[in-house]
Amino acid sequence: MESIKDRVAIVGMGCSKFGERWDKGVEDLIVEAAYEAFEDAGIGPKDIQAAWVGTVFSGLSAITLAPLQLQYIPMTRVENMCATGSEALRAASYAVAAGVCDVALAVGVEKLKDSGQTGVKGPAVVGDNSEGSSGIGPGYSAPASFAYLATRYFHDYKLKPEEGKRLLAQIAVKNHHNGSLNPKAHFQNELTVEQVMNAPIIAWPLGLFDCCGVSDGAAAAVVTRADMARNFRADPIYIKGLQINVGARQGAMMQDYDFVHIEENVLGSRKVYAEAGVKDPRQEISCAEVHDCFSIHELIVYEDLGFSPRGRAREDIEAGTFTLAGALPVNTDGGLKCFGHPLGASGLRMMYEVYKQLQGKAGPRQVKNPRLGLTHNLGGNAGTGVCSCFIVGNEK
Amino acid sequence: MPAEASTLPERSPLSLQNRWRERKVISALYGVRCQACGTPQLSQIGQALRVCVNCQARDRFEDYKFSDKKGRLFSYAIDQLQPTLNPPGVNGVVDFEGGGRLICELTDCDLDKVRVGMPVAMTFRKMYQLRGLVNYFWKARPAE
Ligand SMILES: [Zn+2]
Repeated sequence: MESIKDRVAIVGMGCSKFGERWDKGVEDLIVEAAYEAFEDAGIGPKDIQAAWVGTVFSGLSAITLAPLQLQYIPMTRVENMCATGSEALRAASYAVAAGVCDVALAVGVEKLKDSGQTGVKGPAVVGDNSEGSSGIGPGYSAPASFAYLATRYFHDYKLKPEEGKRLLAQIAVKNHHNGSLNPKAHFQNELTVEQVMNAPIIAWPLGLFDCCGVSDGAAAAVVTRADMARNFRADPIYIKGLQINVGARQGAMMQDYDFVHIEENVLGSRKVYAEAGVKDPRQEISCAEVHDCFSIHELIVYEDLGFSPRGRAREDIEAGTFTLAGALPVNTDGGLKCFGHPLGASGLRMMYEVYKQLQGKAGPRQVKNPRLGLTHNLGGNAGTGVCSCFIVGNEK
Repeated sequence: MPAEASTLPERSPLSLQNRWRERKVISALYGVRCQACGTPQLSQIGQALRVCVNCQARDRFEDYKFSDKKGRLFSYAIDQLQPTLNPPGVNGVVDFEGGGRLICELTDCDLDKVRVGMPVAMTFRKMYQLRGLVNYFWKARPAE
Protein backbone atom coordinates (compact mmCIF):
# COMPACT_ATOMS: atom_id res chain seq x y z
CA MET A 1 0.00 0.00 0.00
CA GLU A 2 1.45 3.36 -1.02
CA SER A 3 0.98 6.66 0.77
CA ILE A 4 -0.40 9.77 -0.94
CA LYS A 5 2.48 11.76 0.58
CA ASP A 6 4.13 14.22 -1.84
CA ARG A 7 2.46 12.81 -4.93
CA VAL A 8 -0.17 15.53 -5.36
CA ALA A 9 -0.08 19.31 -4.91
CA ILE A 10 -2.71 22.01 -4.58
CA VAL A 11 -1.88 24.80 -7.02
CA GLY A 12 -4.96 26.96 -6.81
CA MET A 13 -7.72 27.62 -4.29
CA GLY A 14 -10.81 29.78 -4.03
CA CYS A 15 -13.35 30.50 -1.32
CA SER A 16 -16.55 32.49 -1.58
CA LYS A 17 -17.69 34.94 1.03
CA PHE A 18 -19.65 32.89 3.58
CA GLY A 19 -22.86 34.12 5.14
CA GLU A 20 -26.49 34.82 4.44
CA ARG A 21 -26.08 35.21 0.70
CA TRP A 22 -29.73 36.01 -0.01
CA ASP A 23 -28.91 37.57 -3.38
CA LYS A 24 -26.78 34.66 -4.61
CA GLY A 25 -27.65 31.14 -5.68
CA VAL A 26 -25.71 27.86 -5.62
CA GLU A 27 -24.50 28.79 -9.11
CA ASP A 28 -23.05 32.10 -7.94
CA LEU A 29 -21.25 30.49 -5.00
CA ILE A 30 -19.72 27.82 -7.25
CA VAL A 31 -18.54 30.32 -9.86
CA GLU A 32 -17.16 32.66 -7.17
CA ALA A 33 -15.05 29.91 -5.57
CA ALA A 34 -14.00 28.04 -8.73
CA TYR A 35 -12.92 31.11 -10.71
CA GLU A 36 -10.83 32.34 -7.78
CA ALA A 37 -9.16 28.89 -7.80
CA PHE A 38 -8.61 28.99 -11.60
CA GLU A 39 -7.07 32.46 -11.40
CA ASP A 40 -4.94 31.46 -8.41
CA ALA A 41 -3.62 28.46 -10.38
CA GLY A 42 -3.14 30.55 -13.51
CA ILE A 43 -5.38 28.28 -15.58
CA GLY A 44 -8.76 28.40 -17.26
CA PRO A 45 -11.72 26.05 -17.01
CA LYS A 46 -10.58 24.27 -20.20
CA ASP A 47 -7.48 23.00 -18.34
CA ILE A 48 -9.60 20.98 -15.90
CA GLN A 49 -9.55 17.29 -16.89
CA ALA A 50 -11.86 15.89 -14.19
CA ALA A 51 -13.94 17.33 -11.36
CA TRP A 52 -15.59 16.34 -8.10
CA VAL A 53 -18.28 18.32 -6.33
CA GLY A 54 -19.25 17.82 -2.71
CA THR A 55 -22.73 18.79 -1.58
CA VAL A 56 -25.15 17.25 0.89
CA PHE A 57 -28.38 19.08 0.04
CA SER A 58 -27.69 21.62 -2.68
CA GLY A 59 -27.65 19.48 -5.78
CA LEU A 60 -27.97 16.00 -7.19
CA SER A 61 -25.15 14.50 -9.27
CA ALA A 62 -22.20 16.33 -10.79
CA ILE A 63 -24.64 18.31 -12.92
CA THR A 64 -24.51 20.56 -9.83
CA LEU A 65 -21.36 21.93 -11.53
CA ALA A 66 -23.25 22.89 -14.72
CA PRO A 67 -22.90 26.62 -13.86
CA LEU A 68 -19.16 26.28 -14.64
CA GLN A 69 -19.90 25.00 -18.17
CA LEU A 70 -17.04 22.50 -18.09
CA GLN A 71 -17.42 20.74 -21.43
CA TYR A 72 -18.09 16.99 -21.31
CA ILE A 73 -15.43 15.85 -18.83
CA PRO A 74 -15.71 13.16 -16.13
CA MET A 75 -17.39 14.64 -13.05
CA THR A 76 -18.87 13.11 -9.90
CA ARG A 77 -20.81 14.32 -6.91
CA VAL A 78 -19.69 13.01 -3.51
CA GLU A 79 -21.39 13.14 -0.11
CA ASN A 80 -19.89 12.23 3.26
CA MET A 81 -21.84 14.41 5.67
CA CYS A 82 -19.72 17.14 7.31
CA ALA A 83 -16.60 15.75 5.58
CA THR A 84 -18.19 16.22 2.14
CA GLY A 85 -15.91 19.04 0.97
CA SER A 86 -12.86 17.15 2.17
CA GLU A 87 -14.12 14.06 0.37
CA ALA A 88 -14.21 15.98 -2.94
CA LEU A 89 -10.57 16.98 -2.45
CA ARG A 90 -9.62 13.40 -1.57
CA ALA A 91 -11.29 12.06 -4.72
CA ALA A 92 -9.57 14.61 -6.97
CA SER A 93 -6.20 13.95 -5.31
CA TYR A 94 -6.56 10.18 -5.65
CA ALA A 95 -7.38 10.53 -9.34
CA VAL A 96 -4.23 12.59 -9.89
CA ALA A 97 -2.15 10.17 -7.82
CA ALA A 98 -3.53 7.27 -9.87
CA GLY A 99 -2.23 8.98 -12.97
CA VAL A 100 -5.58 9.05 -14.75
CA CYS A 101 -5.58 12.84 -14.96
CA ASP A 102 -3.05 15.60 -14.38
CA VAL A 103 -5.26 18.53 -13.38
CA ALA A 104 -8.41 18.01 -11.36
CA LEU A 105 -10.92 20.28 -9.64
CA ALA A 106 -12.60 19.82 -6.27
CA VAL A 107 -15.56 22.04 -5.38
CA GLY A 108 -17.65 22.06 -2.22
CA VAL A 109 -20.89 24.00 -1.98
CA GLU A 110 -23.93 24.33 0.24
CA LYS A 111 -26.79 26.82 0.21
CA LEU A 112 -28.48 26.34 3.57
CA LYS A 113 -30.23 29.67 3.98
CA ASP A 114 -32.79 29.22 1.20
CA SER A 115 -34.79 26.77 3.35
CA GLY A 116 -35.84 29.57 5.70
CA GLN A 117 -35.24 27.19 8.62
CA THR A 118 -32.76 27.30 11.46
CA GLY A 119 -31.09 23.93 11.24
CA VAL A 120 -29.85 21.33 8.85
CA LYS A 121 -32.49 18.98 7.53
CA GLY A 122 -32.12 15.23 7.60
CA PRO A 123 -33.40 12.10 9.25
CA ALA A 124 -34.11 12.01 12.99
CA VAL A 125 -30.97 9.95 13.52
CA VAL A 126 -27.77 10.35 11.55
CA GLY A 127 -27.52 7.73 8.84
CA ASP A 128 -31.21 6.78 8.81
CA ASN A 129 -32.99 6.51 5.48
CA SER A 130 -34.55 9.93 5.09
CA GLU A 131 -37.08 8.64 2.56
CA GLY A 132 -38.49 5.92 4.80
CA SER A 133 -37.77 6.47 8.45
CA SER A 134 -38.76 4.09 11.22
CA GLY A 135 -39.34 7.05 13.54
CA ILE A 136 -37.37 5.33 16.29
CA GLY A 137 -34.78 8.06 16.68
CA PRO A 138 -35.61 10.71 19.29
CA GLY A 139 -34.99 13.51 16.79
CA TYR A 140 -33.01 15.84 19.00
CA SER A 141 -31.11 18.70 17.41
CA ALA A 142 -27.45 18.65 16.42
CA PRO A 143 -26.52 20.81 19.44
CA ALA A 144 -28.08 18.18 21.73
CA SER A 145 -26.08 15.41 20.12
CA PHE A 146 -22.89 17.23 21.14
CA ALA A 147 -24.26 18.33 24.52
CA TYR A 148 -23.93 14.70 25.66
CA LEU A 149 -20.17 15.18 25.35
CA ALA A 150 -20.19 18.33 27.46
CA THR A 151 -22.38 16.76 30.16
CA ARG A 152 -20.08 13.79 30.44
CA TYR A 153 -16.83 15.80 30.14
CA PHE A 154 -17.93 18.07 33.00
CA HIS A 155 -18.89 14.99 35.02
CA ASP A 156 -15.69 13.01 34.45
CA TYR A 157 -13.32 15.94 35.00
CA LYS A 158 -15.34 17.32 37.92
CA LEU A 159 -16.07 20.70 36.37
CA LYS A 160 -18.98 22.62 37.85
CA PRO A 161 -21.38 23.81 35.10
CA GLU A 162 -20.07 27.37 35.54
CA GLU A 163 -16.44 26.23 35.23
CA GLY A 164 -17.16 24.03 32.26
CA LYS A 165 -19.09 26.73 30.43
CA ARG A 166 -16.34 29.27 31.12
CA LEU A 167 -13.80 26.87 29.64
CA LEU A 168 -15.86 26.34 26.48
CA ALA A 169 -16.55 30.07 26.20
CA GLN A 170 -12.84 30.74 25.73
CA ILE A 171 -12.92 28.64 22.55
CA ALA A 172 -15.78 30.68 21.08
CA VAL A 173 -14.04 33.94 22.05
CA LYS A 174 -10.80 32.82 20.37
CA ASN A 175 -12.54 31.81 17.15
CA HIS A 176 -14.55 35.02 17.00
CA HIS A 177 -11.36 37.04 17.45
CA ASN A 178 -9.85 35.21 14.47
CA GLY A 179 -13.04 35.65 12.47
CA SER A 180 -12.99 39.39 13.18
CA LEU A 181 -9.79 39.50 11.12
CA ASN A 182 -11.31 37.69 8.16
CA PRO A 183 -13.40 39.50 5.51
CA LYS A 184 -14.73 36.17 4.15
CA ALA A 185 -16.24 35.09 7.48
CA HIS A 186 -20.00 35.15 8.10
CA PHE A 187 -19.55 36.57 11.61
CA GLN A 188 -16.79 39.14 12.05
CA ASN A 189 -17.59 40.29 15.57
CA GLU A 190 -15.59 39.80 18.75
CA LEU A 191 -17.30 38.15 21.73
CA THR A 192 -16.55 38.25 25.44
CA VAL A 193 -16.53 35.26 27.80
CA GLU A 194 -19.48 36.84 29.66
CA GLN A 195 -21.52 37.19 26.46
CA VAL A 196 -20.94 33.53 25.66
CA MET A 197 -21.75 32.34 29.17
CA ASN A 198 -24.91 34.42 29.44
CA ALA A 199 -26.31 33.53 26.02
CA PRO A 200 -29.61 31.64 25.78
CA ILE A 201 -29.30 27.88 26.24
CA ILE A 202 -29.77 25.85 23.07
CA ALA A 203 -29.10 22.37 24.40
CA TRP A 204 -27.92 22.26 28.00
CA PRO A 205 -25.12 22.85 28.75
CA LEU A 206 -24.45 24.45 25.35
CA GLY A 207 -25.58 28.02 24.72
CA LEU A 208 -26.08 30.00 21.54
CA PHE A 209 -22.41 30.92 21.12
CA ASP A 210 -21.25 27.36 21.75
CA CYS A 211 -22.90 26.51 18.42
CA CYS A 212 -21.65 27.36 14.94
CA GLY A 213 -23.82 29.27 12.53
CA VAL A 214 -25.78 28.18 9.49
CA SER A 215 -24.62 29.82 6.29
CA ASP A 216 -24.12 29.66 2.53
CA GLY A 217 -20.71 29.14 0.98
CA ALA A 218 -18.45 27.39 -1.50
CA ALA A 219 -14.75 26.63 -1.81
CA ALA A 220 -12.62 25.02 -4.50
CA ALA A 221 -9.18 23.55 -5.14
CA VAL A 222 -7.16 22.75 -8.24
CA VAL A 223 -4.80 19.79 -7.78
CA THR A 224 -2.06 18.42 -9.98
CA ARG A 225 0.86 16.00 -9.90
CA ALA A 226 3.54 17.07 -7.43
CA ASP A 227 6.20 16.90 -10.15
CA MET A 228 4.19 19.33 -12.32
CA ALA A 229 3.23 21.71 -9.51
CA ARG A 230 5.98 24.27 -10.06
CA ASN A 231 4.82 24.74 -13.65
CA PHE A 232 1.77 26.42 -12.12
CA ARG A 233 3.28 28.36 -9.22
CA ALA A 234 6.40 28.82 -7.10
CA ASP A 235 4.65 27.95 -3.85
CA PRO A 236 2.49 24.86 -4.33
CA ILE A 237 1.13 23.09 -1.26
CA TYR A 238 1.85 19.37 -1.12
CA ILE A 239 -0.57 16.75 0.15
CA LYS A 240 1.05 14.76 2.99
CA GLY A 241 -1.85 12.65 4.14
CA LEU A 242 -5.59 12.18 3.47
CA GLN A 243 -7.50 9.99 5.89
CA ILE A 244 -11.19 9.32 6.32
CA ASN A 245 -12.31 7.23 9.28
CA VAL A 246 -15.92 6.08 9.66
CA GLY A 247 -17.67 4.53 12.65
CA ALA A 248 -20.46 1.93 12.66
CA ARG A 249 -22.50 3.14 15.68
CA GLN A 250 -20.25 1.32 18.14
CA GLY A 251 -20.42 4.19 20.62
CA ALA A 252 -24.19 4.50 20.37
CA MET A 253 -24.69 0.77 20.98
CA MET A 254 -21.98 -0.32 23.40
CA GLN A 255 -21.36 0.76 26.97
CA ASP A 256 -17.57 0.95 26.70
CA TYR A 257 -17.77 4.23 24.78
CA ASP A 258 -17.11 7.08 27.22
CA PHE A 259 -18.60 10.23 25.57
CA VAL A 260 -15.43 12.22 26.34
CA HIS A 261 -13.63 11.38 23.12
CA ILE A 262 -14.54 10.52 19.53
CA GLU A 263 -12.96 7.26 18.41
CA GLU A 264 -13.05 8.25 14.73
CA ASN A 265 -11.01 11.38 15.55
CA VAL A 266 -8.41 9.38 17.46
CA LEU A 267 -7.98 6.68 14.80
CA GLY A 268 -8.24 9.04 11.81
CA SER A 269 -5.58 11.38 13.20
CA ARG A 270 -3.25 8.54 14.16
CA LYS A 271 -3.44 7.24 10.61
CA VAL A 272 -2.84 10.62 9.00
CA TYR A 273 0.16 11.25 11.24
CA ALA A 274 1.60 7.89 10.17
CA GLU A 275 0.92 8.68 6.51
CA ALA A 276 2.48 12.14 6.75
CA GLY A 277 5.40 11.02 8.91
CA VAL A 278 4.35 13.21 11.85
CA LYS A 279 5.63 11.85 15.17
CA ASP A 280 4.69 14.64 17.57
CA PRO A 281 1.69 16.59 16.26
CA ARG A 282 1.85 19.22 18.97
CA GLN A 283 5.38 20.15 17.90
CA GLU A 284 5.15 19.51 14.17
CA ILE A 285 1.74 20.86 13.13
CA SER A 286 2.05 24.62 12.51
CA CYS A 287 -1.69 25.40 12.36
CA ALA A 288 -4.92 23.43 12.30
CA GLU A 289 -8.50 23.96 11.12
CA VAL A 290 -10.70 21.63 13.17
CA HIS A 291 -14.42 20.92 13.30
CA ASP A 292 -15.72 23.40 15.88
CA CYS A 293 -19.39 22.75 15.12
CA PHE A 294 -19.84 23.05 18.89
CA SER A 295 -17.27 24.42 21.34
CA ILE A 296 -17.14 21.15 23.31
CA HIS A 297 -16.08 19.33 20.17
CA GLU A 298 -13.13 21.65 19.55
CA LEU A 299 -12.02 20.91 23.13
CA ILE A 300 -12.33 17.17 22.59
CA VAL A 301 -10.48 17.44 19.27
CA TYR A 302 -7.48 19.00 21.08
CA GLU A 303 -7.23 15.78 23.07
CA ASP A 304 -8.26 13.34 20.33
CA LEU A 305 -5.72 14.71 17.85
CA GLY A 306 -2.90 14.71 20.41
CA PHE A 307 -2.58 18.49 20.67
CA SER A 308 -3.23 18.25 24.44
CA PRO A 309 -2.73 15.25 26.72
CA ARG A 310 -6.00 13.39 27.51
CA GLY A 311 -8.04 15.29 30.06
CA ARG A 312 -5.74 18.32 30.01
CA ALA A 313 -7.11 20.55 27.26
CA ARG A 314 -8.08 23.00 30.00
CA GLU A 315 -4.45 23.85 30.74
CA ASP A 316 -3.77 24.60 27.08
CA ILE A 317 -6.96 26.63 26.64
CA GLU A 318 -6.11 28.72 29.68
CA ALA A 319 -2.49 29.13 28.52
CA GLY A 320 -3.60 30.39 25.09
CA THR A 321 -1.85 27.54 23.23
CA PHE A 322 -4.42 27.57 20.40
CA THR A 323 -4.66 31.35 19.87
CA LEU A 324 -3.01 33.09 16.89
CA ALA A 325 0.03 33.88 19.05
CA GLY A 326 0.08 30.45 20.69
CA ALA A 327 2.25 27.41 20.03
CA LEU A 328 -0.40 25.67 17.90
CA PRO A 329 -2.95 28.10 16.46
CA VAL A 330 -6.31 26.41 15.80
CA ASN A 331 -9.09 27.75 13.58
CA THR A 332 -7.07 30.77 12.54
CA ASP A 333 -9.75 31.87 10.06
CA GLY A 334 -12.54 31.89 12.65
CA GLY A 335 -13.61 28.28 12.20
CA LEU A 336 -17.12 26.97 11.72
CA LYS A 337 -17.98 29.33 14.56
CA CYS A 338 -17.51 32.35 12.28
CA PHE A 339 -17.98 30.75 8.86
CA GLY A 340 -21.05 28.70 9.72
CA HIS A 341 -21.25 25.20 8.34
CA PRO A 342 -22.42 24.88 4.76
CA LEU A 343 -21.68 21.16 4.89
CA GLY A 344 -20.29 20.57 1.41
CA ALA A 345 -18.07 23.64 1.54
CA SER A 346 -16.57 23.46 5.03
CA GLY A 347 -13.71 20.99 4.44
CA LEU A 348 -12.43 22.94 1.45
CA ARG A 349 -12.91 26.27 3.26
CA MET A 350 -10.63 24.92 6.00
CA MET A 351 -8.07 23.85 3.41
CA TYR A 352 -8.23 27.33 1.85
CA GLU A 353 -7.08 28.85 5.15
CA VAL A 354 -4.31 26.30 5.69
CA TYR A 355 -3.15 26.79 2.07
CA LYS A 356 -2.96 30.57 2.54
CA GLN A 357 -1.19 30.17 5.89
CA LEU A 358 1.44 27.85 4.39
CA GLN A 359 2.02 30.35 1.56
CA GLY A 360 2.42 33.19 4.06
CA LYS A 361 -0.64 34.95 2.66
CA ALA A 362 -2.98 34.94 5.67
CA GLY A 363 -2.60 38.66 6.37
CA PRO A 364 -3.33 39.72 9.95
CA ARG A 365 -3.92 36.07 10.89
CA GLN A 366 -0.57 34.82 9.62
CA VAL A 367 1.17 32.26 11.86
CA LYS A 368 4.98 32.25 12.10
CA ASN A 369 7.09 30.03 9.81
CA PRO A 370 4.45 27.37 9.11
CA ARG A 371 5.51 24.06 7.56
CA LEU A 372 2.62 21.64 8.07
CA GLY A 373 -1.10 22.37 8.34
CA LEU A 374 -3.99 20.09 9.28
CA THR A 375 -7.70 20.10 8.45
CA HIS A 376 -10.26 18.02 10.31
CA ASN A 377 -14.00 17.37 9.97
CA LEU A 378 -16.37 15.24 11.96
CA GLY A 379 -19.79 14.43 10.61
CA GLY A 380 -22.31 12.63 12.79
CA ASN A 381 -21.79 12.87 16.50
CA ALA A 382 -20.65 11.18 19.66
CA GLY A 383 -21.47 7.53 19.09
CA THR A 384 -20.84 7.36 15.39
CA GLY A 385 -19.26 9.61 12.85
CA VAL A 386 -17.35 10.32 9.67
CA CYS A 387 -13.96 11.88 10.37
CA SER A 388 -11.57 13.42 7.87
CA CYS A 389 -7.98 14.30 8.80
CA PHE A 390 -5.80 15.85 6.11
CA ILE A 391 -2.23 17.16 6.36
CA VAL A 392 -0.53 19.42 3.81
CA GLY A 393 2.89 21.08 3.74
CA ASN A 394 4.83 23.77 1.88
CA GLU A 395 7.95 21.66 1.31
CA LYS A 396 8.28 18.45 -0.60
CA MET B 1 -52.70 23.55 24.12
CA PRO B 2 -50.63 23.01 20.97
CA ALA B 3 -46.90 23.50 21.43
CA GLU B 4 -45.21 26.05 19.21
CA ALA B 5 -43.99 24.39 16.05
CA SER B 6 -40.29 23.62 15.95
CA THR B 7 -38.19 25.84 13.71
CA LEU B 8 -36.05 22.84 12.79
CA PRO B 9 -36.65 21.33 9.35
CA GLU B 10 -39.51 18.82 9.28
CA ARG B 11 -38.73 15.22 10.16
CA SER B 12 -38.47 12.58 7.48
CA PRO B 13 -41.81 10.90 6.74
CA LEU B 14 -42.55 7.71 8.69
CA SER B 15 -42.39 4.59 6.59
CA LEU B 16 -45.13 2.02 7.26
CA GLN B 17 -43.02 -0.60 5.49
CA ASN B 18 -40.01 0.08 7.69
CA ARG B 19 -42.19 0.12 10.82
CA TRP B 20 -43.79 -3.19 9.86
CA ARG B 21 -40.36 -4.80 9.49
CA GLU B 22 -39.29 -3.41 12.85
CA ARG B 23 -42.58 -4.09 14.68
CA LYS B 24 -40.89 -6.09 17.46
CA VAL B 25 -38.49 -3.25 18.25
CA ILE B 26 -41.29 -0.70 18.19
CA SER B 27 -43.91 -2.64 20.19
CA ALA B 28 -41.74 -4.34 22.82
CA LEU B 29 -38.25 -2.87 22.47
CA TYR B 30 -36.74 -6.09 21.25
CA GLY B 31 -33.09 -6.05 20.29
CA VAL B 32 -30.80 -9.00 19.88
CA ARG B 33 -28.06 -10.81 21.78
CA CYS B 34 -25.05 -12.16 19.90
CA GLN B 35 -24.69 -15.90 20.36
CA ALA B 36 -20.98 -15.69 19.59
CA CYS B 37 -19.94 -13.04 22.13
CA GLY B 38 -23.06 -12.50 24.27
CA THR B 39 -23.40 -8.76 23.59
CA PRO B 40 -26.99 -7.43 23.83
CA GLN B 41 -27.58 -4.74 21.19
CA LEU B 42 -30.29 -2.51 19.83
CA SER B 43 -30.35 -0.54 16.60
CA GLN B 44 -30.75 3.22 16.95
CA ILE B 45 -32.57 3.62 13.66
CA GLY B 46 -34.88 0.65 13.24
CA GLN B 47 -32.57 -1.44 11.12
CA ALA B 48 -32.29 -5.17 11.55
CA LEU B 49 -28.93 -6.12 13.03
CA ARG B 50 -27.14 -8.59 10.77
CA VAL B 51 -23.50 -8.30 11.90
CA CYS B 52 -22.52 -8.04 15.58
CA VAL B 53 -21.33 -4.58 16.66
CA ASN B 54 -18.86 -6.18 19.06
CA CYS B 55 -17.40 -9.27 17.35
CA GLN B 56 -18.65 -8.94 13.76
CA ALA B 57 -20.19 -12.45 13.72
CA ARG B 58 -22.88 -12.54 11.02
CA ASP B 59 -26.49 -13.60 11.70
CA ARG B 60 -25.83 -15.31 15.02
CA PHE B 61 -28.46 -13.54 17.08
CA GLU B 62 -31.26 -14.47 19.45
CA ASP B 63 -34.08 -12.08 20.38
CA TYR B 64 -33.43 -10.01 23.48
CA LYS B 65 -36.02 -7.84 25.18
CA PHE B 66 -34.87 -4.46 26.52
CA SER B 67 -38.23 -3.04 27.63
CA ASP B 68 -38.10 -4.77 31.04
CA LYS B 69 -34.43 -4.04 31.77
CA LYS B 70 -33.38 -1.42 34.27
CA GLY B 71 -31.04 1.27 33.02
CA ARG B 72 -28.81 4.11 34.13
CA LEU B 73 -28.27 7.48 32.54
CA PHE B 74 -24.72 7.68 31.18
CA SER B 75 -25.10 11.22 29.83
CA TYR B 76 -27.91 13.59 28.90
CA ALA B 77 -28.81 16.70 26.89
CA ILE B 78 -31.72 19.09 27.41
CA ASP B 79 -32.74 20.34 23.99
CA GLN B 80 -34.64 23.60 23.48
CA LEU B 81 -34.94 23.05 19.71
CA GLN B 82 -36.27 19.50 19.66
CA PRO B 83 -39.68 18.95 18.09
CA THR B 84 -41.31 17.00 20.91
CA LEU B 85 -44.77 16.81 22.50
CA ASN B 86 -43.01 17.22 25.84
CA PRO B 87 -40.71 20.26 25.55
CA PRO B 88 -37.94 20.89 26.31
CA GLY B 89 -36.58 17.66 24.88
CA VAL B 90 -34.75 15.72 27.55
CA ASN B 91 -32.57 13.03 26.04
CA GLY B 92 -30.38 10.43 27.61
CA VAL B 93 -27.81 7.80 26.88
CA VAL B 94 -29.32 4.79 28.65
CA ASP B 95 -27.06 1.90 29.63
CA PHE B 96 -29.05 -1.27 30.38
CA GLU B 97 -28.28 -3.68 33.19
CA GLY B 98 -26.79 -6.73 31.49
CA GLY B 99 -25.47 -4.72 28.52
CA GLY B 100 -26.69 -2.67 25.61
CA ARG B 101 -27.23 1.06 25.15
CA LEU B 102 -30.00 3.23 23.72
CA ILE B 103 -29.97 6.99 23.15
CA CYS B 104 -33.58 8.07 23.62
CA GLU B 105 -35.95 10.70 24.90
CA LEU B 106 -36.68 10.95 28.63
CA THR B 107 -40.07 11.71 30.11
CA ASP B 108 -41.85 12.35 33.44
CA CYS B 109 -38.72 13.93 34.86
CA ASP B 110 -37.96 16.90 37.03
CA LEU B 111 -35.38 18.84 34.99
CA ASP B 112 -33.46 19.80 38.12
CA LYS B 113 -33.04 16.19 39.14
CA VAL B 114 -31.73 14.76 35.89
CA ARG B 115 -28.15 13.62 36.55
CA VAL B 116 -25.50 11.26 35.30
CA GLY B 117 -26.03 7.85 36.91
CA MET B 118 -29.80 8.32 37.44
CA PRO B 119 -31.68 4.97 37.41
CA VAL B 120 -34.30 4.76 34.64
CA ALA B 121 -36.97 2.38 33.34
CA MET B 122 -38.47 2.18 29.87
CA THR B 123 -42.02 3.29 29.08
CA PHE B 124 -44.10 3.12 25.85
CA ARG B 125 -45.17 6.60 24.70
CA LYS B 126 -46.57 8.64 21.87
CA MET B 127 -43.61 10.35 20.21
CA TYR B 128 -45.34 12.47 17.59
CA GLN B 129 -47.91 12.45 14.83
CA LEU B 130 -46.84 13.23 11.28
CA ARG B 131 -48.85 13.14 8.05
CA GLY B 132 -51.63 11.15 9.69
CA LEU B 133 -49.40 8.51 11.31
CA VAL B 134 -48.94 8.30 15.08
CA ASN B 135 -45.46 7.29 16.13
CA TYR B 136 -45.31 5.31 19.36
CA PHE B 137 -41.94 4.32 20.75
CA TRP B 138 -40.04 3.98 24.00
CA LYS B 139 -38.86 6.69 26.36
CA ALA B 140 -36.93 6.39 29.61
CA ARG B 141 -38.37 7.67 32.89
CA PRO B 142 -36.71 8.13 36.29
CA ALA B 143 -36.95 4.98 38.45
CA GLU B 144 -35.70 6.04 41.88
ZN1 LIG C 1 -20.81 -10.77 18.89
